[in-house]
Amino acid sequence: MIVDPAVDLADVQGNILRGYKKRLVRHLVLKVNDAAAARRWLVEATSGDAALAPQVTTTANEEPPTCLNVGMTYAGLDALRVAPDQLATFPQEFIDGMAARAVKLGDTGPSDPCHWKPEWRDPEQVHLVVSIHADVRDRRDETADRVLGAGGSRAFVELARLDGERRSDGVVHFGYKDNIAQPHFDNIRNPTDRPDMQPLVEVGAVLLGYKTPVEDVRWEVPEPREDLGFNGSFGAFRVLEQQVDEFERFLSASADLMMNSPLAYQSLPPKAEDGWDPPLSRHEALRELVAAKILGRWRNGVPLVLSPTSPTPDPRVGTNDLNNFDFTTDPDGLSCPMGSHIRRCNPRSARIVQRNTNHSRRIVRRGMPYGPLYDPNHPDDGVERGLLGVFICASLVAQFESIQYDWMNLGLQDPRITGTNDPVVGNNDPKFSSFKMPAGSSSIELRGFPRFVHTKGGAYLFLPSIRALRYLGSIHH
Amino acid sequence: MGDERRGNDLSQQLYDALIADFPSHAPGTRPVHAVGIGAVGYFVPSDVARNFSFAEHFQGGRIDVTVRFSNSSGLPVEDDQAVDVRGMATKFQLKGDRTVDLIMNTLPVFFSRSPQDFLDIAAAGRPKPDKAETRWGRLMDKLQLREPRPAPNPLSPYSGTAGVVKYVDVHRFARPGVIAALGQVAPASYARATYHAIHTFKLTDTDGKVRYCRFAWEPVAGGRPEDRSDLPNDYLHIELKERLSRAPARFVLRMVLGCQGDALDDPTKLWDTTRMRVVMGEIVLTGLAGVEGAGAEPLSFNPARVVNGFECLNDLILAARRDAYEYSCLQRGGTGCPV
Amino acid sequence: MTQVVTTATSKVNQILEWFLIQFWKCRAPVTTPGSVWKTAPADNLQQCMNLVMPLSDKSGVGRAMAAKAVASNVDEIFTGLSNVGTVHFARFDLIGANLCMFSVYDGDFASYIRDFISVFGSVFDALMLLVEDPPQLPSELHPESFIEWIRMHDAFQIPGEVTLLFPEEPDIANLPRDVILLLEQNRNVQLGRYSAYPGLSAAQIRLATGVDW
Repeated sequence: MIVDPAVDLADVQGNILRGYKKRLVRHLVLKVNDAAAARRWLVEATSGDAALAPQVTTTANEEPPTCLNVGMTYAGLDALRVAPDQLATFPQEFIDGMAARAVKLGDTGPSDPCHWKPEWRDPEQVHLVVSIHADVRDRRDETADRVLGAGGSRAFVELARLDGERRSDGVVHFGYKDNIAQPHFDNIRNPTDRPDMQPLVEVGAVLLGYKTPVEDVRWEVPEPREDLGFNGSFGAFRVLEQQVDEFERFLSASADLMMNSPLAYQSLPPKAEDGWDPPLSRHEALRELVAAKILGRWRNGVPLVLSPTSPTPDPRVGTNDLNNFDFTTDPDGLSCPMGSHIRRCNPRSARIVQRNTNHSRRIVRRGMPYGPLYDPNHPDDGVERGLLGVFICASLVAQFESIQYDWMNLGLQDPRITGTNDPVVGNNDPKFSSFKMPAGSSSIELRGFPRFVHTKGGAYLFLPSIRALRYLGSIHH
Repeated sequence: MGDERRGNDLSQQLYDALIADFPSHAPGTRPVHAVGIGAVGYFVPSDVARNFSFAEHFQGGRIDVTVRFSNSSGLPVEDDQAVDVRGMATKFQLKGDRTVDLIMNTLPVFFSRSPQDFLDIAAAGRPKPDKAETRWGRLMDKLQLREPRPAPNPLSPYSGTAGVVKYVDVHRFARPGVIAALGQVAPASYARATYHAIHTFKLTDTDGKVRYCRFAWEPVAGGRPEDRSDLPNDYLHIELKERLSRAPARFVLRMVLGCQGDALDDPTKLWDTTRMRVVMGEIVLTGLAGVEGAGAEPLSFNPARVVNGFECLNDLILAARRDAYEYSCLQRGGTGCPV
Repeated sequence: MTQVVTTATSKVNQILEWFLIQFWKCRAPVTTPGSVWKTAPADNLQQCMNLVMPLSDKSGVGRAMAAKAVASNVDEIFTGLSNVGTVHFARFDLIGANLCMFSVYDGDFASYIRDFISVFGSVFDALMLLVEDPPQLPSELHPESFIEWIRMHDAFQIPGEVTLLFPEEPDIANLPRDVILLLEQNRNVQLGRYSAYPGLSAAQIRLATGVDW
């Protein structure tokens, strides 16, 4: 492990610089009931004494069997009685909260906060999100119970518990293998990390108080700087429901369209699907092709840039090479369309309109599926399933919101997609939605698809450093 | 014959409501837009029109047109100087006796979302005696920084404005439409006003791509309000006759493309000026229709008379207009009534 | 004589209007609507900024210094704006004793300002030294406050439809007064805007006209 001594990893909460490898997560959405008891719990959870309370996991530890982390909303900091003049030093988007920024994030229509789960609808009530990662259910439950029992069960009121579970093959509900690409930090990295042809990212992309990837710009650190803001981070916690039935129907309808389209042969030559492993029918192969084109990777994780016409090329793309590509070799999107999800959210070195922002908006994505696995043989089961995601960065407005607002939706980074939204997660209205797959000298346009991901809740969280947690715990009121 | 003349219940209600707003309405004329003048000419689609719609009149080549300009009042007596909405109804002559109508008027936005809304506002706007504002009233307006009430119209001492204003205090969706209607000024010429089709149309191109659009006729001579007050009551007819005898009158067909979030079936919602604009063609009016422009009077123009590639949406007002216009056409013995 | 009377009457009128405005400001105050985000692509493209920054030295010397500060940094300004990529037009003007920047840009306001802090923030900092009540400098270390300061000095924009300004007004006869009070609160106002090619981003226009984006 290469570690920059300038970053005190013992002060940084876990899951920010390095992701946990756990199978299960439980997010406890909490309201502060007794501020003094809640503060005492924060002191106990950072005391080093596991008998007092389960300890907050830092980045310095070897990943313990159960990991505990804490995030607070603005309302939560207020409930813990942080002084108003200090609260005012937090960034405006964090103060507003995610629900108030809904239109900017594209959370409209079915994703509008008025349709969110009850626990999220009143942002004043959501104070903390305590995340417990574990491999063993009992350990997860026990830790959760101990947190809820803090202060004689008086510290917090549980608004909700959100459970996620990662499958062993890493597949998420739309059938894609997730979590392949994450930023590699320039001073905290593992030499066995997959090569990704991208520059190393300054740690200031996620931690407050360091050099950022944006030239000489430094994000303002909440005050008091050393005690509260430094080494902290921000996370956009989002409950994202996935409309798998509609997604699968869209793949089928698009395949129907392309069965009869001569342009489709440019994207998938005739009989190419016979060489796949396993071979598929033309229609099934076209479905997989569409799934790949809208995301940017085949459902097995192989990037389109490395293999545009087969998920199982010969020679295979090894697990270690899944990130070893860039879009500079595909300027016209013939392999990976400019409007595809991974290309929109992280353009790598592709030519984009905002020329100096290729690498300055990178964020860390942590997430786990929730809900039972989708069975294509039993569609329309009416069961809710989706992703519990946290998008971590040092400046929500400069990174997360910017990606969401003008890359994911609107498509401002490339004039060939401007005016359209991300086909997989974007704010799509069937009357206006459009996705172009460049093919030959023309393109195939897919239209009429709805929004496949509905936001069901979420909040902007401050992820304090360990020192900050102790500081919050010792506020005198 | 009797069945056709009765129409369906709603169109009869609408028709009757409009007639009630104009007690001196003359039978055999339209309930509103009673007084009009027709012109003939041709429409030339632009080079890009065919990229947006496969409808016949946008593919290229001249299309003959008949246009009827009108005042929206249902009064049989013409009063061109009144504060009134002006109409421009265009009939495109397609191959083989088929026609397409495009009806527009100088209101950029309407004040009702549904036929019931329209009946409500028509009831609220039943004319009552309109007195001039007193000096005390004018003083109170000044002290409250309000605009003074406009002077009553000498030709028609009854006005429904007070009732309508009370209606929009409560029914906020109607405000933009009513404010636009109250702010209408007499144009210097029928050929110097901008006309809008308040409904949204669905255009389909040869690739099957659908776009939602609104239309307007923009006068090439530019818009111009009439500032003189001493003109004869039919000055617009006189002016048009004189204008067309000198040179044709031209309008550009401007199309605005709707975006995600825009109201597609609600004519009370304006679309922002930021919307993409396309010039779909130009209309050239070369002369009056028939004797003294009376050639358009018997014709039926219907907002729902459209064609494949250029279609209407499920706008409640449009549906009601279709039926009401048909009913009215039958009532007055017009030509070509059914859509 | 009539001229004197007319001038006197109009002066009395002005004083009366001033009193009325002060009265109604307390009696029936209006709030300036905050900026709203919109989802329609056309609403997020070709947005206007009308930045009005009063100079601290309002004399000819101060104005000349402002003019010089802009002129001597023209290269950085041009390169910077070009690299931000989303700017259609930008003009620097001296209007009275105000240094103004009028521009048309695509996308989020905060991203636009943040991008230009990172590409030519130092030039802007030099201009800020000449301005009244400048923001915390250097802008690179205080990006959020800088963006907020710019927002405060951006002229208020009147939407196309006046009823959108005061949707809660119970009596439409009061709309003219509401507008008067709104204009009292906001000295600098954009009344309207026209575009020959609305709904298109700067890059789309460059692509379509073959000058590369």
